[in-house]
Amino acid sequence: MLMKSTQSFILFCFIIIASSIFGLALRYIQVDNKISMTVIWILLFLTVITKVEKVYLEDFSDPKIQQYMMSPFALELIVLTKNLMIYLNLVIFFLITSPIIFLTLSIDFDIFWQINILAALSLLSLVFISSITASIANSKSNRLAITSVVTLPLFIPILIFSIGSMDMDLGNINSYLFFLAYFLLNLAFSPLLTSFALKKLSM
Amino acid sequence: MLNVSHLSFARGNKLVLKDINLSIGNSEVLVIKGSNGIGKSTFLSCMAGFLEPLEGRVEYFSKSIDPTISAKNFIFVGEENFAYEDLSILDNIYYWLSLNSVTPNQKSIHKSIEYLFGRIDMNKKFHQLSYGQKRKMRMLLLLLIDKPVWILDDPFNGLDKETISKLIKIISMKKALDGIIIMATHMTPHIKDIKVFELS
Repeated sequence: MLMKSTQSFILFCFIIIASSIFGLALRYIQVDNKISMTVIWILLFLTVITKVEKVYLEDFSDPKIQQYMMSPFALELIVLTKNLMIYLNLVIFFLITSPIIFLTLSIDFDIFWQINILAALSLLSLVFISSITASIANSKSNRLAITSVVTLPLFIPILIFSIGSMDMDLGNINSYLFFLAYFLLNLAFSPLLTSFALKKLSM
Repeated sequence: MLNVSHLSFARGNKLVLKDINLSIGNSEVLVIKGSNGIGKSTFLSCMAGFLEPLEGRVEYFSKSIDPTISAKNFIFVGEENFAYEDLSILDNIYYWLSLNSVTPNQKSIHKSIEYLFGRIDMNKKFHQLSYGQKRKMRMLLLLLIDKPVWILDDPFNGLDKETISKLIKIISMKKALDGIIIMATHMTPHIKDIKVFELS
């Protein structure tokens, strides 16, 4: 349901091809860690958007939402669980693919864990914001699909702080506080907004 | 007892349902008829609480329908399949049962599958099933989840004669057990004392 083998393979190929293109483009430029993190963040962003939209298109189709709404569990709780499962899927997926990204982008392996921790933290918020985007994009009215771009500015702070965090000491817990705070904010609003959009726009 | 009073529903600027009044009690079957696109499915969605009416209300034992009431009392079987294509028949059943907080009973699951499908490999993936078998999958919910009200959208569509008569039997049994059955269909099933409501 969440990660079909074909889908995973397509995503894997996408990451390899995209990172190779970036790697080739940046070959003759002096690239510092911040630029590497930006490239990785863009790859993460595109992967999350694709993945979440695919899962939502399939798992929250009209007849399935009807059954979810007939369930004693609140739709918000179902959305939250799905998002957390997507997150776990993507974290593991990124952890597996990251060595290849490091190789294609010629990133120093000294910062392997630093980038993986930042990616895992960014992914939390990315998945929850993407779920709002996907629920609006999957609405019955095609006119609303373009409206889903209103959520795009919500992604920007994560990008800024991910890049900013490259200078911070990741042994210090304060470096993670933004990600935690932003995730908690998303945790509070995203399942509510997502399930509201699913109920009102997809039925 | 389910009451619909002065129900109207609009999609955009178009009024789909206008001032509908009806009531249905326990041990009753209500058949909603009408030509294609008249709003039968929309009406069922309003009754199930999926769509908010423009005016009027739907009440179950004098309480307005809300998500808690509909989740506790209603089973909705829509026109389309809700099963997951890559899961087997059994896994789909377990998934939907757990979502309805129903503890799976192996014996009743096997009996229900056998009753509707005859002999079939229960580990067959949903996408490997034929069109007719996929339609039957929707009906498994009725046999495995016990809720007093059934809302069925075109339940006989795509089923063979044998399965239709089985389904009629299931509906008659539910009726005898004090259940409320509301269905939108083009055919009139051979069930005693059914109410027919024509949408026009």
